[in-house]
Amino acid sequence: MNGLCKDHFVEYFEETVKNTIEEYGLIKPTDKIVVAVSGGKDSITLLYILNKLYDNVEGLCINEGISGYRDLTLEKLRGFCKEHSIKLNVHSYVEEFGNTLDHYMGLVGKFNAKHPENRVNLKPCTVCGIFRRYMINKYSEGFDKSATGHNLDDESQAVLMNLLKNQIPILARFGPMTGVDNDSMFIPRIKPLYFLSEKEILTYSLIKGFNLIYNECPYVPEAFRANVRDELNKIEKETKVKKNILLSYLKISKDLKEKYSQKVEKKYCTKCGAPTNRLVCNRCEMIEKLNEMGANL
Amino acid sequence: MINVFVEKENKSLDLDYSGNFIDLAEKVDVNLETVVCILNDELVHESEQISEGDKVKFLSVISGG
Repeated sequence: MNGLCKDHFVEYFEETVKNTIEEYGLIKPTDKIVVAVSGGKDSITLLYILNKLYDNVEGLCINEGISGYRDLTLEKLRGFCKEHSIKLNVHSYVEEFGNTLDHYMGLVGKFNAKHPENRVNLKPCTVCGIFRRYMINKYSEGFDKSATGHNLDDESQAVLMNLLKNQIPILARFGPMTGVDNDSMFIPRIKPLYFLSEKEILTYSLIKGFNLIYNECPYVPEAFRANVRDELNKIEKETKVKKNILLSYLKISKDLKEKYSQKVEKKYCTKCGAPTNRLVCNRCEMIEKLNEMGANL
Repeated sequence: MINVFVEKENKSLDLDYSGNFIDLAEKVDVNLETVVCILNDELVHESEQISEGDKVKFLSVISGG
């Protein structure tokens, strides 16, 4: 609790959110905000605070179909939204694509077992990231801002991951507000918990008595992120570096964005018409890959 | 004797210990960056003292996906 009593911790936490919103111009008072919410502590906390601060706030949950995880968090999320009178919109992979993430990852596993010579390196987080982003964008239509519960840990990990993988053009897109684009098909994505750690968010949610399931997505241990997260936590124990990573990044992000922003004419996916900087968008490319494994999307 | 539960490893152990959470975390190899400290079902500071008969929990901060 950063050496604070519970009341002062809550005050510190909420002030940090307000300051981030103000300093980075994340929300206008009249904005209609949709919070992409999973039912975990980060997004629930964000939904709670934004609903407390603003009038037009709704939740949007994408049910990927992860057995033993999303079904449990979704149940808690429904209860939370009912208790706090927040409108919740739920959309699933099943209704959008025809089946669950578990099913698609099962197909990848079967394909790789059958064709070891042509093994496909398709991680669940990659499939999920592309499909979720597509659905969040689709079902955020009509809102001014789409808010996510990304926190200090997520963002410092992301900066390091992109440096380690030499992905500077991707790194250039990060920050408390992303997706700022003249294309009306995208709405700006905001991260009001940008400067708050997972530890602080859990502390806040416990003090507030949110009735949540504090579990981890079963697919996370497969991710490169888990390694970066663990190493970063080891360093953080000795020297506080996470916030410094973000502060350093923010000092150079304007230059990075200028250098790597898409100054070329915006293209549209030749298959689905969605805005993209490629011939075929990520979602359509992923559908093609999964269909090759028998997904029938 | 105190009872210590480390959530991430789903590990429970009984120990002869008196002191604070900071030293206990070192003893049971828990990184305080990754947990919050619970003493007898109450969220507490890491500097909180632990006494005979207490139930201690290191709750993992890592959740979600």
